[in-house]
Amino acid sequence: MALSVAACALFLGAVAAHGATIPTEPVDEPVGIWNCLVYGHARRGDEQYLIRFLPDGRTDVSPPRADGFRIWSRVSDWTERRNRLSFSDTRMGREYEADLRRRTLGGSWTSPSAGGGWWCVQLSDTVADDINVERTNSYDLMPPLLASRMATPNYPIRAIREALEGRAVVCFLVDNSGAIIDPHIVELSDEIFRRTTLWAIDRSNYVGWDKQDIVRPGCRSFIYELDPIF
Amino acid sequence: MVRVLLTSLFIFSLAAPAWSQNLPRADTGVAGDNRILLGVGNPLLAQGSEALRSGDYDEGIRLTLLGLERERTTDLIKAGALSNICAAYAAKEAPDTAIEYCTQSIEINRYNWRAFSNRSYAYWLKEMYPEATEDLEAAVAINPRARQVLQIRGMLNEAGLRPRVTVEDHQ
Repeated sequence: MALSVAACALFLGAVAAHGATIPTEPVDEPVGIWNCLVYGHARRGDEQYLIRFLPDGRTDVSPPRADGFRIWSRVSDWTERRNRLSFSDTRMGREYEADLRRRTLGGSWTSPSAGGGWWCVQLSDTVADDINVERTNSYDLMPPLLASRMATPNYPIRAIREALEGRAVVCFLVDNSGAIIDPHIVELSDEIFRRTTLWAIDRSNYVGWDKQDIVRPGCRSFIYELDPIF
Repeated sequence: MVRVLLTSLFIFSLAAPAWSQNLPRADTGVAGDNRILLGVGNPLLAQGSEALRSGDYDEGIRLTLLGLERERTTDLIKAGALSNICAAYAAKEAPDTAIEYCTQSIEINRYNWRAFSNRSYAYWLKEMYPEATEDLEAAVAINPRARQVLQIRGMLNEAGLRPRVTVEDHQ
């Protein structure tokens, strides 16, 4: 018990000390612990996972629990080929993939019946891999995103004229001031929606939070639809 | 302003070629240039067509009506001429008159996509969108790749589709 508490303190210390920094270079090497947002599952909704990629290829995932404890569960080994990271979580039936040329880890996931995306920020690369149980407050790692200013994109006039509907998803990091950093379009049904989507992201921000060293991932979906008038 | 530009483009491209639409080659005698021969046979109609193409709608209407009155024409040529008058009135933003001429043209020749297209545009001017859509569908059925048809489709979509963007944050 004492050991466990000590381990928790060590872990939290690592998170607090290292926190999450705003990346400036491509990921290249995924080893470390990543604080991830996983979206797209119709029934489960948005999910928050810690994902740990170990140097020997092992991958652990840890969903938050109501009691605050995080339990690491082993999933498939991660592999990297041509700048693409992949691993699978057979219990959830999901195949994850990420582009390592980005400045943070994220990409898409697919299952036989669904699909979505995931976006992460690295927490620390120094946490020992023998820690199996940590107690962390989810709020500390993932402060809720509350829109301070949410710009709505204009529907491109050409898309209206061509009766084009579509969808775009943008993922990014959010710092403690609520600013949106390094947005990436991760889903785009038609190029016609790219510009207006990024325009809206550029003019949006969130309510910030106190913990200065916490940067969290976020994603925003834009669904473009046309309703017949007559 | 946008409407004026659209109108000009629309009519400019519609007015002249209407003569040669759907004309069997045997009617012309010369392969590949129907319009010139028609001009030879129907100078007033040809001049009217040119006037319409250059944007002189009043003169184009006058010459075309004169040609219809004085020159011998086939039904197909007459239908084309009526469609051109329809286009000219639509360009002058007189959709009621335009619709009358287009309807006459369609009664003579049900396979002239330009007449349907012109009448669709006239209905659009009157904000009679279901009628405009119906005529557009008829034009598309005859000539699905016509640029004017695509243009009118865009105008109808713009008038008849209400855009909605739903923004959702993932937590």
